Amino acid sequence: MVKHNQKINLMLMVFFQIILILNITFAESYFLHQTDQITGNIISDKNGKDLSDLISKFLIDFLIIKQIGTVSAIGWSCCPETIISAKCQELASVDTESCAVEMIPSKCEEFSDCQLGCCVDEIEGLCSTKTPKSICKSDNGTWSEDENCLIQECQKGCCILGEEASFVTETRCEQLSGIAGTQKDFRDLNNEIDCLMQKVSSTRGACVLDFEPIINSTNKTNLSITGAIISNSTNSNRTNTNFTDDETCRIVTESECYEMGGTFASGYLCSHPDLNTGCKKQTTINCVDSSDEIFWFDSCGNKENIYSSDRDASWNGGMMMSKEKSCNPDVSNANSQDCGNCDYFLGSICQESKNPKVKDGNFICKDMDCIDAEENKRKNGESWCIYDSYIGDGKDTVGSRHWKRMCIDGEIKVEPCADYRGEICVQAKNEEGESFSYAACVVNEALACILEYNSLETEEERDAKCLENKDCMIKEVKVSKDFTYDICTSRYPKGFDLVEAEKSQTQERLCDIGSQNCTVLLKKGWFKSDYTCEKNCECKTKLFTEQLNDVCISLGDCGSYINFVGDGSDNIIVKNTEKISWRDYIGFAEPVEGQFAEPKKNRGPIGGESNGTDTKSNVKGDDLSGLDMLGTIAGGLGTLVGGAQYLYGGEVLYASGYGFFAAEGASAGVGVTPVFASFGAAAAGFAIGSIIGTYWAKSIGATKETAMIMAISGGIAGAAIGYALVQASISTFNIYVIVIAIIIMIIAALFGPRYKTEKVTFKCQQWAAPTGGENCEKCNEDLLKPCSAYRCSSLGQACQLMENDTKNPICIGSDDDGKPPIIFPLNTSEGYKFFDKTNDGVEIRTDNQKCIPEFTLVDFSLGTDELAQCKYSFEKTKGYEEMTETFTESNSYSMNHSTSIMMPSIQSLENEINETGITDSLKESYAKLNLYVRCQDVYGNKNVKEYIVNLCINDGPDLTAPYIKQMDPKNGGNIKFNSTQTQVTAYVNEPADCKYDTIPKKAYEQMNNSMQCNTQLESSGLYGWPCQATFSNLKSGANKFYLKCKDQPWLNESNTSRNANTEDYIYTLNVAEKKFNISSISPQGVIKNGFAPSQVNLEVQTIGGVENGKGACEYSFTQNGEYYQFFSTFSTKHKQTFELMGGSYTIYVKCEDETNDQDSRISQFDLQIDSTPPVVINYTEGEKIEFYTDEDAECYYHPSKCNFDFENGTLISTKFTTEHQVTFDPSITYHIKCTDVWKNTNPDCAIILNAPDLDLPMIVRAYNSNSELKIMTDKISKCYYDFETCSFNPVNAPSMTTDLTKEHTVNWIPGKVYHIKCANAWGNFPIDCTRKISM
Amino acid sequence: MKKRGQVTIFLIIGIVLLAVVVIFFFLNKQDILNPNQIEVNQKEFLQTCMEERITETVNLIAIQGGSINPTLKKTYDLEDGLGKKNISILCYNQNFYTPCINQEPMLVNHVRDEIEKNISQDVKQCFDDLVISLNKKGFETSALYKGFEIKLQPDKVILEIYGEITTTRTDETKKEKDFEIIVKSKFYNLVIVAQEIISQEARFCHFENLGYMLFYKNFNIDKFKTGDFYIFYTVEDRDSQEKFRFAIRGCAIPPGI
Repeated sequence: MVKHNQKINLMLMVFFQIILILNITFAESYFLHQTDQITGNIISDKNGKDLSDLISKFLIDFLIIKQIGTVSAIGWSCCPETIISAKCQELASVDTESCAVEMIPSKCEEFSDCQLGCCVDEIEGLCSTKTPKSICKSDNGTWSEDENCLIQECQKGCCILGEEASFVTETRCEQLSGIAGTQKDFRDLNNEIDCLMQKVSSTRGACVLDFEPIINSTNKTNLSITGAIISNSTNSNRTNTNFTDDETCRIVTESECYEMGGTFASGYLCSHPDLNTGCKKQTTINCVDSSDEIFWFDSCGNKENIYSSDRDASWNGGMMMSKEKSCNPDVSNANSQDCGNCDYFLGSICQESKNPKVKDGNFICKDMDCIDAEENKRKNGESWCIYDSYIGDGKDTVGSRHWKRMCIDGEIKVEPCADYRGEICVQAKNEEGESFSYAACVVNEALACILEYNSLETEEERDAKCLENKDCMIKEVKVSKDFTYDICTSRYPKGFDLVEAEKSQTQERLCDIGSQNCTVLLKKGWFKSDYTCEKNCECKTKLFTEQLNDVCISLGDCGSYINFVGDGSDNIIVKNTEKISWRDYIGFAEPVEGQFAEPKKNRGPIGGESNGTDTKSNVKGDDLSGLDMLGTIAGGLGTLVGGAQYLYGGEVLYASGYGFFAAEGASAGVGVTPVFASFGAAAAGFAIGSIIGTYWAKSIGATKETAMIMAISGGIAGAAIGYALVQASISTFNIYVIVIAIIIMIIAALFGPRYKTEKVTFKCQQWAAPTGGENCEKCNEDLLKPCSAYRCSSLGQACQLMENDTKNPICIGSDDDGKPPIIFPLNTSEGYKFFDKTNDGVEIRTDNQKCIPEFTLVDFSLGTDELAQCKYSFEKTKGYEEMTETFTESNSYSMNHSTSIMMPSIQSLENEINETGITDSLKESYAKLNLYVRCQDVYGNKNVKEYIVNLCINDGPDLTAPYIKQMDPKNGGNIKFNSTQTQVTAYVNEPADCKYDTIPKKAYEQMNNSMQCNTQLESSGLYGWPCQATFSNLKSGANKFYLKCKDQPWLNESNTSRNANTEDYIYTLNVAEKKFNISSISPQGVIKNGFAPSQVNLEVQTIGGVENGKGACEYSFTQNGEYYQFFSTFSTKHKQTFELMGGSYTIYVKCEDETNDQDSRISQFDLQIDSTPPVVINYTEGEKIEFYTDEDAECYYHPSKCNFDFENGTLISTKFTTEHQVTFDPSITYHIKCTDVWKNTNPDCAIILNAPDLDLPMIVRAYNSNSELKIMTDKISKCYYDFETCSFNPVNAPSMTTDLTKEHTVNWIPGKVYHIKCANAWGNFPIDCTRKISM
Repeated sequence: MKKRGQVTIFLIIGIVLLAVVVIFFFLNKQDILNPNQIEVNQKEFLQTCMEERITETVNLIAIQGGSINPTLKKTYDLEDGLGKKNISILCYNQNFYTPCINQEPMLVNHVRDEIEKNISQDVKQCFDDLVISLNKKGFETSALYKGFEIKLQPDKVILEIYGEITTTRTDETKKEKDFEIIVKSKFYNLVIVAQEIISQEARFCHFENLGYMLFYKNFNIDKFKTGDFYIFYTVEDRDSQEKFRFAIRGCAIPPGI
């Protein structure tokens, strides 16, 4: 009886593998691709699954899930405004409820109002990237197409505002200058750091009211005292209103002093005794806004030099002293009692402080450095990573997060990287000099490792990519000599949603990539009764489970592992091998000191643009990038990477080989001489006999040697029979030979060595939090690491996050009611109902209360009154732990527990098991097929009593014909241009034989071509049982084929019980009629732009192929480098935008259509950046003024000045051209300025025509002051200089003057000769130098 | 009564009268201001009346991402004593992996409009109160309120009230036109930084707050990422401790796959 039950169990186990279609694992899935299971090998398993195939299958399964069905462009619609008031959002077309207005059935980029561009605030001079057109325009902004604002209006430069510099657009500079009441000083400096670091030189000094020098002087004007200049104001409107009544001196710039009507002493402190101001030196100290340092102040409240306790040194004889010459300029002086030369970049800033403090007041250079939690000193601006537990090696713990910390202004700030380890914290350290670390939260490319790289065509390609990406690692599994494989997996596994049931299914599938089977070979020796392990014995040890669990953990939150506080759960199902526990991994809960993730070359944030030719992140940032990635991988479907080997397949074929060689010999012998004919007949007999022997050996699982003996014995017996038949007599000798040979065969069959196999399985499941909620509070312990839904849910099934919308939400455990879940029926698929519902179980029957037909899929779900994890078995068990089968949601906790069942026919099982004595029992089992269900709630309260779901399977005669569920390529599909044949697979709903023909309406038996059908019960996949054939003689255009199938393949061809299709399945294959080609690619040649980086659109058009050129294109900057998909593709037009610096580029492009027909082309271009304004190269003055520019330009003139805005000028040109003319009016002086198409504009006049008599400025004074060359002209002018020559064009030369003035300044470089030309207010300047100066 | 006593009484009476006169003049000081001083007082009156209101409004708008009643919003308590607030999401993409889409590109205009919307009644009320106050002080007043405008500039918020007030007393007529109220505030500076953050987030999926703080040390920028893929930015002026806070959602990375 025990044996009988075991057999039943065995059978149930066999069909269990196919009834759970929706739960099908990759372990089963690869059987789809095996074709030689019946005849080819003893061990039908394949060790080390074909990962490419598994991943492809994963993606197929994944992509059929509803929400991912929106991947294709057709599935997206543009919602102008969602119900939460978000503008221009792309939604799945089916998601109409989320849109507040009518959806536009296209992507937002194709809908004008939602096209993204740059929105310019022309008043403020601000630019906003990625702005929908409609929003910008409705807010009165100016919209332009470049969504990254790489347009002239948004180019930033350095704006000088007083003593400060600001990196802004020119318009903004104008706006800020206007507000500040200063002249715009916008400098063409495109580096923010250089701009901010720029020392704005403006000479400051003491401005003295009613200056009465005490030195012997007769002339107050231009009196030079120890190298400085004292000048009184020539301003006749001097009012002194800027001075307070008792104020005598103030530190200002010379021009400010001029405005205030004081006397300016450049570089002097007000306390300088020569100035006689009455201000006493160094009376107080204080901080100054926008300065880092502590300063002395005089008794009049004027800032003096940087504080030093060495007063004399600081006072510097009453002269100003630069920061560089002040005390300790190269260190931060943090907490120094003697020096107030604080420096923000070196880590200190002036702050009021009583302790510590400098010697002369309550101020100090505050130390901006920080002390971290490990008591390490961190510099101001330093950032570093903090981890919850061990990181890397695929061992990041569940619920853990990466954290970036930074030291800023003496305070440690925390920036959490994206939760679920969507980002990881990478760190680099500068070990030269003082240690300084930099950290950043960057995108974790874990999925690319698993899904993208493993589906690459070759192992070498995969390894190269995997090793290059520091987020990935090659995980090698080496359990035994024959069970070894490697996989590219994630170094920092991504976290899973542990709560959301919708995500659970896809996550489970991701984990399932780690599921594996190992076939262990067992051998029984001659005359032995027990089997011993022969091959893959290590799979039955812990080594197998450990190594596979390591892979499983690295795929995500999968497997038996721990959370970030070191608690865990077992989430693997292993059969026929040793188990392991999550407790083996507790050591990984602690972070390892000094461990951090390294930055990766080209690593960047997702979604954002990358600069220039920078390679993209693998998780692409462009629109739909994540999904594109999946599409790309899905594109690799069908590309199978070989590698797994059939065990012993060769040996079996070797035994078979004898027979086939003999058969060939037999065939050759027919028709020759009688003698030889006899030998021929004997040989034929040998062949037949050996084939019989071989098949018999295989059928009993004989070893190689047994099979050999049986084949030879069979051959000898066959030869003897054959010889006797030809000789027409059977001699006694012949009889002996035959009998002996047969006896040998029987002995070998009964007592010879035999093999059998045992399947060791490892199922990798999604990680489930431990039951209960005793650890929930641990989420709330560290305020620097706020709890989140992910962290909380990892701590326990009963943990719940409260106050979700706060920075520090609280994780608490829910109350335990102490009761197990109540199970009840929920729903079934159409055509079935629940009957006889009780508290203990339910029956599932057809609507008319009949048993379920064989090979019919039945979905049903059970409900629980609370979140529960449920399992079931086909036998009664003692408790929940012994149950191994899970519902669709696997080990997730849910209130809805679904599964699908499809039962094979009894006949098919009989055929499969080849056992006849159990038919009745099996029938009985079918009639009373019970699923025993138990559940446990989040607190671990489990059902003691099983809930029974009863199903009965109709074991009556099969009267229905099979049907084809799916074709690959799909019906109506396209194949490559010029193809004459292709491999086709039909998936049938039940095991069946199939045939096809090119002539319709033939009976099954008359059809000419058979398909090779895999009819083993185990062979069923998602779509059914596969039948394959190569369809040949294809012609261009539509090719029609007619298919029919016949069920019960285990019966004879002529058996009338078999049901064949009477109607054809009409299958059409379209061979592309035209070659798929790239018809155009641009840019080519020279392209120009006005600034860098420039936006360059790579545009490709494709024609031919199956859908008039529809296809997908990729590009690469190197011929053999990595190719990236175009941003806009899957069409006949393909577009990718780059931001490039000037230079020569070659971009390699390859495109292919859905039939994999490919074409490739190159885009070669030279990007020239034109950043210079137009130059007038020739002109004539007559009745008309005519002039020519060196490039296409638009020119304006103004009658009185060069410094005019175009809106105040008169337009000369009617379009951008090199030829310009205007009617001559002798009364007008033409101040002409031009701009090119990139808006490079002459800063001054390009040329002045019809100018009045020249009245050129003269330089009346030149002197050196504070390392500056100052000159004064006799009239207002603008001066320019050149170090080399007097023959320079001032238009292109550096200016000493921002506007027309008599005073001109430039930094003095000793040893240089300044060739100076000064232009008058009309813009006229001398041909030769106004003056050459060298001092 | 002796002469000396009389003198004393007269002296006392004189002192009392003098005191009365002084008190009278003191109490009616404002009424006897010359018209030049009225201008100052009118402006001061409006400054006092509006300053607090403007500051309140600006602060409220600032911590709510630039809107009084945000429509696209995320309710959150960032635990800085401000409680749970509806915070505007200024850049948003509801999908995963894709950068956010700018929802408020003309942010300066928007916040200015919000301030104007929120104080419009108060400005009118203050103007009317000024007229009432002048009337109470004995002026014959003729007033015409024409509206107002908010100007945002570095370090200040300017309220320009357009209108005319003509005051007449004792044959002296004074006409005042348009009043400028200046409130010191870093609000504009903060808004500009916010706009820069949004532009960078939309373009690069990232804003490097540490680098920005190092170069622009006046600003303290806090970045907080929530478990549901939002990022809250709080831009603070270190000196005034004024804050501007907003949310974005872009380049969200989903759990699992």
